Amino acid sequence: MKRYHYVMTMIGLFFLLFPILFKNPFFHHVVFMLFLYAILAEAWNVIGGYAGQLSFGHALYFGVSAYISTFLFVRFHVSPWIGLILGVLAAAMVGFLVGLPFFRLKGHYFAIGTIGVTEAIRAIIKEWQLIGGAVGIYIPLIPSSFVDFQWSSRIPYYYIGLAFVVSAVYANYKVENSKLGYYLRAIKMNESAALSLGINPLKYKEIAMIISCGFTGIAGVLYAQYTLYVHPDSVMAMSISIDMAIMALVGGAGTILGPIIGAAILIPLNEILKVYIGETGSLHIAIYGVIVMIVAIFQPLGIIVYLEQILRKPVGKGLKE
Amino acid sequence: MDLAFVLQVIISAILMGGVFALIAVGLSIIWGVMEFVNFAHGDFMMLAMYLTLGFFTILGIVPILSLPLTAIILFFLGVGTYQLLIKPVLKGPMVAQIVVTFGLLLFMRNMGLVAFTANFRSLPAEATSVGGLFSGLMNFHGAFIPKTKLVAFVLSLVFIILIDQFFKRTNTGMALRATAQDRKASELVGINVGRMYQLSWGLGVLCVGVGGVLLSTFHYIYPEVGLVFTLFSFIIVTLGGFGSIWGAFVGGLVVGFADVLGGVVLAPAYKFAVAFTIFVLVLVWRPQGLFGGGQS
Amino acid sequence: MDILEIEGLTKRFGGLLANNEISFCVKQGEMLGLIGPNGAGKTTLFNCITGVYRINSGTVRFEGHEIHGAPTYEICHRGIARTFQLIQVFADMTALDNVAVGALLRTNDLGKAQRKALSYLEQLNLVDRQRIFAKNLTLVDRKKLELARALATEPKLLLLDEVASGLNPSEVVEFIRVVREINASGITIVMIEHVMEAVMNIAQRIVVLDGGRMIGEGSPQEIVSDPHVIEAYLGEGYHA
Repeated sequence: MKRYHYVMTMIGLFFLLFPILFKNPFFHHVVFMLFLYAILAEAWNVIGGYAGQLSFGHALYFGVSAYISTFLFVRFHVSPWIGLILGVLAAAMVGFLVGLPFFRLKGHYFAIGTIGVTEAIRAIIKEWQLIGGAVGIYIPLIPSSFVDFQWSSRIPYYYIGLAFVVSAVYANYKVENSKLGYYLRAIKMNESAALSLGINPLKYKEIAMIISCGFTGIAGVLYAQYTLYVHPDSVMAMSISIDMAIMALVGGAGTILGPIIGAAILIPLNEILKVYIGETGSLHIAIYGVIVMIVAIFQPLGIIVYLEQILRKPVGKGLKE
Repeated sequence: MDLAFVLQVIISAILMGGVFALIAVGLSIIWGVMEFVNFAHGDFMMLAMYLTLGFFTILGIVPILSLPLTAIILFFLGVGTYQLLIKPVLKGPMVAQIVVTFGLLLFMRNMGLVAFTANFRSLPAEATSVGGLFSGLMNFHGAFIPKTKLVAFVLSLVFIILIDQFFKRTNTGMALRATAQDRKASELVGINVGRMYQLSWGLGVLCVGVGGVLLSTFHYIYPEVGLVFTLFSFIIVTLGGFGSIWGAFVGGLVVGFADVLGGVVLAPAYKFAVAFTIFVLVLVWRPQGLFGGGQS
Repeated sequence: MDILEIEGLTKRFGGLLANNEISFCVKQGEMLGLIGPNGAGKTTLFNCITGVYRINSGTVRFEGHEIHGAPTYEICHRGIARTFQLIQVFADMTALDNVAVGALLRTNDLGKAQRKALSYLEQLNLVDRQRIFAKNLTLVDRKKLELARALATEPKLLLLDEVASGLNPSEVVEFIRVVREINASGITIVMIEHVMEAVMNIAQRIVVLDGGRMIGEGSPQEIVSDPHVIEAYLGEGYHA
């Protein structure tokens, strides 16, 4: 018990002080991307890990939110903070709508369906000139401003990202230790038994979906404000959807900290591969693919299983499938 | 709009559709027998295309002769993939089963980029003309049909018929169909389900390989070509039914039409959206497809 | 008062008439036995009552309200709980969590649900096994667990599907005691049973099904001497 809390506190302090300890802006960038994907992986975990509905189209909610806040800011000068709220609401709503017809599908069927929806909408957005079509929307560079959610330094983005990561992890913690979490596990384990206990699967899956898509939407706005450019192939790319799921899996799907561990392993790993192998020819992605296959085969429950053994503390209830 | 144009469109759609169908049949076989979707499906096709290119440019073997070779290679590749990657992951959670083929997709596609670069390539005309026999266009009432496409379509059709007959008339085929219908019952009557899974992968990848060889005779070859055809295959198999071979054929024709007409009538990007919308609707309304059946 | 009224209930699967014009009532607080040879349609009937199957015709009324056509989870909300012929405990959850899921029907507070779950585990003598994963429990304990979980939903009507099957005689005796206690606390029980000692001893009334049809209804003594019932179970040539 004590060892676990000690480790957590040290890690927390480390990330809190990171920008002060390390001044290299590239490191700040990498850690920010880590935070971004940590939020995404934790978000995916709520619907993919806890509810067992394997969505491979989550980039849709990332993109919807990014587009809404960006469009409102560029066209109507609405503060991206308001854009964040609206983007999150929109992402949650779209997710809810997708869930309505699709939650009756399971496993591979659901996965294909979500891929199809996102690809279809991405194809449509590419033609929609109002929001920039295939070119997308650029956010103009402006002097640092909190209201306009833009800074010349990476540090504010870093801390905002960190804050959202903590909230995403906290959300997972709350989900796991609540009626919702118990019900989702029941539905995942044995839906007909769950039905006989008065559980409405669609209702609880939708609640999980809203939470999941909402946090995905947060990441979308963060990304938009950080890169200052949204276009269909950057914010609705299939690779985003796939990476979210991969990170949750590699770390440990269905656990509180698994997804963040997955992001913490794969993002820096990717950067290291890029440095040592070079970005030419995409060999680093091929190797990434091999690593994914290896983890999927040899430790599908995630790296967290090993950490659990080291710290000798079970890190969540959803570990067993 | 004259008859010749309409005829051209229709024939073009049918020819494309036939080849699409063969590619999709491979996905359908694996899905039908194992209820497993291979997201790296199109990447095996990509491999077959490059093999065909290699056989010709390096060894001078024309596609029509290298086809059986490529087919055999891909069959064993399919079996090997099952043994190495799929069989171990079947005992794990569903998320691992899906992610493992995504990992394979990333690996194959990007190794393709490393080995071949992103350049679009195509088979030179000498490769497909077979000494002038299949070169040039055929004139059918004013519609001009490239002979290579016609050959590709005919061979696709032949192959689909062969596969279909295999499933219907051979003992192994029947065993595969039994496994597709009811895994437990098949085990109880002594069918080696593991062997069936292995075989389904071999056959499935073989089909997509042959489809790839045929496709390479008139389509660009590049490492990322796989994904588009994987998605197309999803649509085709969803329309036609997971596990139904002639359903895949019908689905292939539908997508062939959508592809050709879409290019003609709508903006090319919209046809993708339309195809996916139809696909999503069918998936939701009738998950087993218009013809297919699932596990009982 | 009749807590459950079934009238003309018919369920067809293609050409098979699994339930054919079943009609009977269950009085509040009683213990009703549902017996019949294998394939008679008993579990199908339970599935029809709980909304797992959609009935083809007839009505099902619970506490005066029509419930046929309602989704299963809503029927549970109204107060009908059940156990399954093939035990459906949540294998990868602890015994406590299993029952907690049941208890969460009536409360949103996880802590409260866990405390209530504990009391149900006590009632069924499973407290010392509360942290064991359900898949590691013995058959008897899993049956008890499923029962505790169903009780945690605070049902007014409990449908038990072959609770006694697979148990040795002393375990059957214990289950009879437990079921009697549950009934005594005011919960109406309908139990499907093959184990005759179980059902004949505690049921106040019995309904007999055979080939989808009701072929007998009455007290245990009446049923035992009913020639139709005897024929159904043992074939022609036998009599009381």
